[in-house]
Amino acid sequence: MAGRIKLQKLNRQIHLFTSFFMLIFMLLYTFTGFVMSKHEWFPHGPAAIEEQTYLLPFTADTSHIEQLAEKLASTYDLSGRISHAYTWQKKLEITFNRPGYVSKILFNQKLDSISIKKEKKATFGEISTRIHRIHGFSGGPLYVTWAFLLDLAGLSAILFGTTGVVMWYRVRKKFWYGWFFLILPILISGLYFFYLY
Amino acid sequence: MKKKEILKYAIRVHLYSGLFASAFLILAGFTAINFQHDLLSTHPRDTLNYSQKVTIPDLPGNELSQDIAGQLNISGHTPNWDYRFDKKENLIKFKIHRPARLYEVDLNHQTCEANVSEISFKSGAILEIMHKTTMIDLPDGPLVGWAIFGQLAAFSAFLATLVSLYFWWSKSISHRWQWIVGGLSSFCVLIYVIYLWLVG
Repeated sequence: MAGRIKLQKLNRQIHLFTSFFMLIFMLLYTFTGFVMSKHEWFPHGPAAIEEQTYLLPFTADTSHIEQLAEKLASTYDLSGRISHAYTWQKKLEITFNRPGYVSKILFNQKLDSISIKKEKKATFGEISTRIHRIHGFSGGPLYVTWAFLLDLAGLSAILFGTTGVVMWYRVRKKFWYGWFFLILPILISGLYFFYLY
Repeated sequence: MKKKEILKYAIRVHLYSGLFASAFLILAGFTAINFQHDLLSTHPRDTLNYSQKVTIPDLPGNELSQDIAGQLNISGHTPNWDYRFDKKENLIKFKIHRPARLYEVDLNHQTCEANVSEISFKSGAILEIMHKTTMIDLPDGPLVGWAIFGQLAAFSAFLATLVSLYFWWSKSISHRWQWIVGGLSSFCVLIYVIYLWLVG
């Protein structure tokens, strides 16, 4: 009996603390998700593109791309999540991506000149979409921290949902309508999964 | 309305809206983690090949693929970059994308035949799609139904959380430290998001 009460208390505490952590993430993701789902309601349009070519004032060391990207960022006043790729012409392309702004640096074959293409699409809808989609453990400490927080928010959502169901189950006789509210979404989710399978 | 009565209704709203949102919350939480760690495979699972006679209208790229998709009874997106004419095989090739399905279509002008490869994906891809398709805009009954359900579930979760704020409010004197923790963490996340947006 005492063990059961302890378990119930623990369950309640988990529900409470995960709700703390989840609250702001849920507000953020529900809001940005809503903006994404109704993107036509918000102002949108083509991106403003600006492109310029520069002669590199230093020798590009492609063996340390992260350091090279940081050096370029400080030289040309660029910021955002850093990623890189090689084009089909085997030219190095470094991208700086932050919500609403994308800057691409394309090197020439000799690595002595670069072309910087800046795309600005800083509408409310676009920024919301970009914030909603930030994920993954790459792009530097700022984004790794965010990814870690996102993992915690995901885990909180799972725990918050599960502990909530457990708490209701204890009082299911009093709140028996709960069966309907619980089973209907599970049924819908199951049917949709099999529809897609 | 007395405080006791408000609390009675608040408990019911919190409980039922929370229960309604619980399945979706667990799904959204799991898929959010899966986006970052690729826990479940999203690779192709199965391919089904079949042919169908079609009428080929004289339309440019994307309009032609949309018309053929309609004749094949497939509702999906046909991006321009997936459309090409294969001179060697004398075939028009394009792809139709829809949630958890990819259709590769080879269209033969001479025989008016569409050879379709229907590729289905593993459960990881399906769960990811279930996360994303709450904002689908394809004219397909079940997809629209799921989108509405997803939005309702998100709204329910939002409502359940807002009502829980009322619970804290009504007990705020004895739970002041919780307000401080909640407020501080909310403020930090907000600053973080603004920093990511403005500075990156």
